[in-house]
Amino acid sequence: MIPDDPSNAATQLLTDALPSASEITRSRLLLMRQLYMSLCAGHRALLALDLAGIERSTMDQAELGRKLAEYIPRGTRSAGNAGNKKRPPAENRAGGFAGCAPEMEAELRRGERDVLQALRLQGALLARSQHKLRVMANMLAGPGVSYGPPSRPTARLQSASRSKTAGSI
Amino acid sequence: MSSLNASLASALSGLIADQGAMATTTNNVANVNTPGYSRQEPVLVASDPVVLSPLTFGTGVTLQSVESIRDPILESQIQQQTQAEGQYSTLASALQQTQTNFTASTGDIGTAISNFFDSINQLSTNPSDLSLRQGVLTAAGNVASSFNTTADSLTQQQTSLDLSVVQQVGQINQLTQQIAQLNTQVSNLQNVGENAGTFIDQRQQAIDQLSSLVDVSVIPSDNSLTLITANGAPLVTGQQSFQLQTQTNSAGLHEIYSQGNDITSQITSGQLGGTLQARDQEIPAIQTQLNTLADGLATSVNKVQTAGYDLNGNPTGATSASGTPQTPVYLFNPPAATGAAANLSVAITDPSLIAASSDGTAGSNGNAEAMYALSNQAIIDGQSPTDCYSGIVFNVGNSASNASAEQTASSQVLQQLNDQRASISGVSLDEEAANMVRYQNAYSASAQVITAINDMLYATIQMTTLTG
Repeated sequence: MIPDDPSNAATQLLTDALPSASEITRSRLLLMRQLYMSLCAGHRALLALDLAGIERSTMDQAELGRKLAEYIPRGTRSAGNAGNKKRPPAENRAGGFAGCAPEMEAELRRGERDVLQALRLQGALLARSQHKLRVMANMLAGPGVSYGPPSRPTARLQSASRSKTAGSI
Repeated sequence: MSSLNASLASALSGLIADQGAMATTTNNVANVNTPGYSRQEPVLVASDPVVLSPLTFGTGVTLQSVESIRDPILESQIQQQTQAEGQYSTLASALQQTQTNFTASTGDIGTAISNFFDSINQLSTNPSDLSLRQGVLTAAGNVASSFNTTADSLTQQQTSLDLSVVQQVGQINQLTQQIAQLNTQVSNLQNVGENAGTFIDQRQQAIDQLSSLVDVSVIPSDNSLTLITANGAPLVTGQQSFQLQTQTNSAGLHEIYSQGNDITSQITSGQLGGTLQARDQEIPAIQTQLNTLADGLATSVNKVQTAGYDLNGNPTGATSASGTPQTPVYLFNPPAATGAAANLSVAITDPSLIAASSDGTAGSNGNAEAMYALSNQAIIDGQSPTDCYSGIVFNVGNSASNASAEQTASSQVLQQLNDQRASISGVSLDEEAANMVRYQNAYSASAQVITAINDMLYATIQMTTLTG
């Protein structure tokens, strides 16, 4: 059967193809739980200084974060500015909860809170692991090596690239 | 060739050494559940040999010393994490207490501000209604009292933290005295070559306790150690302890002094560091933000209030209807330069003095609407009053959550380090059981050797008797 108005039919097809708000919320919840679990695994790896585990969980988190970002409407994403203590503008605070059932919204907010707290813990553990590794590096260093924080990787890369252009190995 | 008596002496040295080793194992087993105890190990060395040319004979075994098994690097890491754990647990606890002042409730500042602007909005629908005017005054009073209550609560918390500072300094002084005494005992024993393991364990426990209170660095020296704070203020040098003092500053808060120098701002870790951070940084920052909000709100409302006319058509500004100067009729008393939140109060009691009118007519609501419009205007540091308050709540919550995460991280790392210490320094009953069997067998073998030598000596004596 040929539809009366082709544009209406196209809109209908598009609407059918798009996931509903509840499906999106469920997917977000699932991803958020996976992210939380991955962060917990990351904490264990950091405590054990299990480098392979740290790398695996970081890759997982990056992938899950990317997937999660696809579900969050544009303009509601946080800039992730830890140093800026000012609250995000009011229009960004909805966090893409529009169209959610109240109980789903509550669960999403709980999930977000858990992930945020797990991220804070991850940051704190990373700082401690970094400190521990620095102490170990200093301990292992010979008397010829100056003590102190390691040089920035960017500086090292720059010097490496300079060496390369100069033709040295 | 070695004599039988020399062999007897060798066997006897074995008996004595094994007895000592067995005593060490016994002590380890007895202290299996003693907190802070480090397992001990006997150090057995072969006695100096005798040379009877062309042969060299051993002269048995000597129990040279009993050593406690410790990992100094691990101990140092434990101290660092104990300091961090102490700091963040105190800070998190203080900030969680602060957070309760900003929890959404009927009496919180955010609700009071919203209700105040709602009451003005209602007044704008009927500016001559006295009950609505009274409602605005009541809501303004609630705004003032919510600011006063929160500011007072923060001041009380600051005072209570100040009291904790004095108590913690007292605890630090007690511990440093104890460590200096233990240094003396360790030094006395080690100077005569005795095992000071028990006192070293006790000293380590005291250092761990001290680490949870203040950022302390341990510098080991011969038979003793020196403790200093992170900024280099001495706490213990060998057998002498240096007391920290507290003195009240102009704000009525206690500052910490070491050898006459103010070291308050240099203490950044341990419970004392956390208490100082909450008292001197976190709470004052919140107080400043609250004062800014109270000042901005009162000043903006007063500015609109003094630009209108009261219910009787009289101007409320600095100039009367006849053009003569007059005292402006403010809604809030102009905030003081300091402590705006603590001293915020409503300036009028007569509801007819509220300037709802913009042209002097009783039915005009222009000024009430202008006052209501303040609720959405960026009047405090580029933010509306409610957004500014939300910002304060956000900052308090954020700081509390960060401190809590840091505390959890320190606890987890500390737990892991303590487990590692237990695996190195803790007593393993299985290992001790194996050692016990080993020493028991060695003791039996030495005893057997003595019996054999005894038999040989008996045979020699018999031979001598027969010959005689």
